[in-house]
Amino acid sequence: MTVSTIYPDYDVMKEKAKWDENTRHVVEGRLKAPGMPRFFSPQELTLLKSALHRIVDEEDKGIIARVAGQIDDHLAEKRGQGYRQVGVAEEEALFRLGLTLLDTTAMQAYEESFLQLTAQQKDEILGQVQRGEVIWKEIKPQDFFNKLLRTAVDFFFSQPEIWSEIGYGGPAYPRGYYRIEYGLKDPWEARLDRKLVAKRAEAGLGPGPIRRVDR
Amino acid sequence: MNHETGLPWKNLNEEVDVVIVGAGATGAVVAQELGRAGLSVVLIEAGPYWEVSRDFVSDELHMRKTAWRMKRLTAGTDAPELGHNISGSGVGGGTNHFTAVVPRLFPSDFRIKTIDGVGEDWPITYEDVAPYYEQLEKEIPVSGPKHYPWGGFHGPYPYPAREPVGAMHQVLRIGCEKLGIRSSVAPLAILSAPFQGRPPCINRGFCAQGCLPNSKFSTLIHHIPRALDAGVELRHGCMVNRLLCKPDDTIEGVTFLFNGHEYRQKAKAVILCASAIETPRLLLMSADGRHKKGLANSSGMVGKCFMLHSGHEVVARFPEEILPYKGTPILTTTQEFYESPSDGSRVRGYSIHAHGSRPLAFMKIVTKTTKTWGRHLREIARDYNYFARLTIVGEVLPQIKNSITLSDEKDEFGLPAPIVTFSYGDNDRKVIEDGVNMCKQILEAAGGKVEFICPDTSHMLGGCRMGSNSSDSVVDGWGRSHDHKNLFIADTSTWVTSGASNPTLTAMALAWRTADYMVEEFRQGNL
Repeated sequence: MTVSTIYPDYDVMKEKAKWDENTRHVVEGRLKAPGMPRFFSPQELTLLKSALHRIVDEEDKGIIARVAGQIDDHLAEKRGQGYRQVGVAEEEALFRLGLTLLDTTAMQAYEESFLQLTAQQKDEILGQVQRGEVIWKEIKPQDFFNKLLRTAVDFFFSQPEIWSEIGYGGPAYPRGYYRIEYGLKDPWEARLDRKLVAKRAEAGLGPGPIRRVDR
Repeated sequence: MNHETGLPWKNLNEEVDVVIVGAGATGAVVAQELGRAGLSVVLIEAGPYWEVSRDFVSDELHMRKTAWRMKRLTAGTDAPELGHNISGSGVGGGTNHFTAVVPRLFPSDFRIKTIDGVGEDWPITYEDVAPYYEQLEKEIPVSGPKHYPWGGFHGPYPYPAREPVGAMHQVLRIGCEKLGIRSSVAPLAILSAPFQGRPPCINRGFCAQGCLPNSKFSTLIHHIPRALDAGVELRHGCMVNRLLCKPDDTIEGVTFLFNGHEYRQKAKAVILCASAIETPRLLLMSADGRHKKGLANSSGMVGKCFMLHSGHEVVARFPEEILPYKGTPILTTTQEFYESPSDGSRVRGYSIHAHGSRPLAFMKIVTKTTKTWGRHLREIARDYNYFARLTIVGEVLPQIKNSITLSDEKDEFGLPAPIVTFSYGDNDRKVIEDGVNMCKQILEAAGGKVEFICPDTSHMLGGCRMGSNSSDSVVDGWGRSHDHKNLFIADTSTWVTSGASNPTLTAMALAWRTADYMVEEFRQGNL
């Protein structure tokens, strides 16, 4: 069985009363269900969500819908990325063309929309796109994949549930931290479940055999 | 002035003494000093006027808004990632989200051609800058150790060293100790004790997102209010798009864009503090019939010899939790490998800093290095708390081909987007290889297992270098243009070599020195 977290009792949102109001507003805003897309067409948004499920290995439809909605906000509001390499298309073009081309590639390979494929088939197509093994005229498939991956990671790992899952302390103002040296924790930080750490270790995951750092 | 709109601008129709372009690390210092000297000053900033309590939050993604997000293009074999790590936007500029690591350059940095036979010598020496380092360290004020082992200044720093040292920083100290390498708490522009109403650091860990308690120095909270008190007029949201040159080659003033309209501001002198990308870009964009290669560019050196620091990240997994989100992101350092080793294996060197990670910074390293996604990505993320990171600040030698040029593509202002072209040279790669190798040894000696080695860069420098010869440099040792006697540059574009220290303190010290010189030139009637 997969261990989804080694911090089963930790919920970063339990501390929200200790955060400043502006931060609380931003983080709580991230938990709201998205409205209608403004940048993507409904079809593109569905394709994006379908790809996101695989990219970040997340089955929860609510989280993925929020991530997709927040990517849509980013693109609709033209927040900008600040830079791109010469020869790489702008992010708006990468997303819009890339999602459609992803579907076309799926149709060519399986005679079905990307949306209808099994998880394994989706991963196969995404892998080909990442490795540049498909030929797209308008944009380089690798450029689309890199943009999709980096953006997916940015928005997915900004979701409070995921902060809780990885034991990230989250916002910390005005409270701060007091116990920061090796081996110390403040009372509100995530507590490890050693049994779950051991279970992950059995599967070859996690930090491995315990070797203590000398103080 | 109305802080919401920036209007009305009281000095718009006047010829002021000085226009400063850019209100970041250096422009704010210059503004404070020129304002206090009684000069009439207009400080023009392209980005917004941040208000800490309204605009700063404890969130990585949201705070990317403090980066320069207008269109820039990159090229070269090592086309850099720009964005949040490299440059700021708005009042305070990069100081809003820098890690506040403020070592000085070493005396040898100013003379590497003489000492090491590479690069160029600066037209000034460490001793020229030292008095400005000293007064700046007191003014902002810098916390640091009683004794600092390296370079030209061994302490004590004005404020005590920050303590305690967090787990991720202990890793560097333990690893260095085992290898017999000296390490130290870094000099930081972060308070270890109260200062003028600002509290000491609370270890919140969000230096790179903007400090909320104002424990970390920024020009937004320090120099800007003092400049305004001294009568400086600040115009934010205004993008300077051209310098105006008179037939006698003096600068008449600038034009700038605000809400799609162009305005003109005349001045007796103009000083550029816009960054190593925007300053050369502005000079190139100001080309006219008589200056086809751009202003201040008779040498052809505007935009040339652009440098970054190599900033490779080495990340190791530890057997117990490190909790890399807690505390000041960079707190311990070694500058043991800063200069050329005696075995000749490389020229010049690097600093190594222990460096905390919030989730997005960590996951960026994971995706860049492994290209992984799906289940494997999530499994790595589940061990986020077990990882510690060391970052190098590696010297990069100047090369003509590393440059800022103008693209045919237009940015959001309708101006030619800059192209940042960057490729490492052979020695740069040797510095990186050695630096990464040393990071690995330190992490392993501390009990870690190195898993990710990620190329990155930091700190933009050069592109309008200073020099005593007008044929191969853009400004003189005071930051004054060889071609236009009332045009100055006080940002990091004037740097001749990169050094391997975080550049902000030096940049501000040089800016202060240039401001003092301008005040004296005004006094003597030369401006």
